[in-house]
Amino acid sequence: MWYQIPVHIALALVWMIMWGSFAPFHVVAGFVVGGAILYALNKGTGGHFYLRRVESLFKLIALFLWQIVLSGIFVARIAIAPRPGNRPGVVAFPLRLKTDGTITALTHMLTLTPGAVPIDISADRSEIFIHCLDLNDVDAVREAKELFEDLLLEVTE
Amino acid sequence: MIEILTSFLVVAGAMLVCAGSFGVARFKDYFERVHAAGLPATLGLSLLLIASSIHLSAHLGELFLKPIVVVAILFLTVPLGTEMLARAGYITNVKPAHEYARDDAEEQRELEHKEPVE
Repeated sequence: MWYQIPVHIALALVWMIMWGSFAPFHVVAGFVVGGAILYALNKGTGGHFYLRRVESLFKLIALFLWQIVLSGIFVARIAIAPRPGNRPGVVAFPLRLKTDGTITALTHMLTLTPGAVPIDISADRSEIFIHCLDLNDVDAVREAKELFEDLLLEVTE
Repeated sequence: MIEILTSFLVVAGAMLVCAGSFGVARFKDYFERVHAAGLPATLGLSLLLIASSIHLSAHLGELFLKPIVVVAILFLTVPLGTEMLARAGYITNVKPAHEYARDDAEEQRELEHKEPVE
C-alpha cells in the first residue's frame, strides 16, 4: 500500500513540470490531481487508497478533542453538584490492541474520556482496567473505548 | 464581536478551572480527586489559552499561535500525569472512601499486591 506515496509524488511532479511552475498553487494542485488519479485507480482495482489511513487519523484527532470537551464538562458537573450521586468503581474491558504503542495511545485517550482513568492492563494484554467516576455511565466509556480502538486499528494495521 | 467571543471563552475557562478545584476539595477519595484534578483543568486552561490567542491575534493584526502550541503540549502531558497518579494509587493499594459497587480488578490487585495505605 505504501508504494502509493512515491507514485503520488511522481504524479504531482509531472503535473508541475507540465505547468512549468513550482509555485505553491501548482504544488497543491499537483497533489490534489495526483490524489484523485490514485483514488480512481484504487476504486477500479479494489485496492486501498493510502490516504484512507490519514483520514482515520484525522477522525481520531477530532474524536479526541470532542472527548476532552465532554469529559471536562462531565467531571465539572459532578464536582459542583449539590449532592453528587456518582458511584465510583473499577471495570474491566476486553482489549483488542496488542502492541505497546497502540495501547499507550489508547490509555492516553481514555484518560480524557468522561470519567475514566485506566489504571492497569492484565499481563496477557486481554483486559484493560478502568477506574470510572460514575458506574451509571459505564456504557459511554465502553462506546468511547470501542471507537478509539477501531480507529487505532484502522490507522496502524 | 471578538470581544464577546474572547470574554465568553475566558469566563467558561475560569468556571471550569474553578469547578475542577471544587472537585479536588469535595470528592471523597484519592481516585475521584485525580479525575477532578486532571480533566476540567485541561479544558479550562485550553479555553483560556485559545482566548488569549484570539485576543492577541486581533490586536497584533497577525496570527499569534504560541498559545495553541501550549494547548497541544497540555493535551499530551496532563493525561499522562493523571494516569500516572491514578496508577501510583492503584499499585500502592490506596483504599477508596467506600467499597466499590463493582470492582473487576480485585484479583489483578492481588497480583501486584503491596501493603495497603490508609
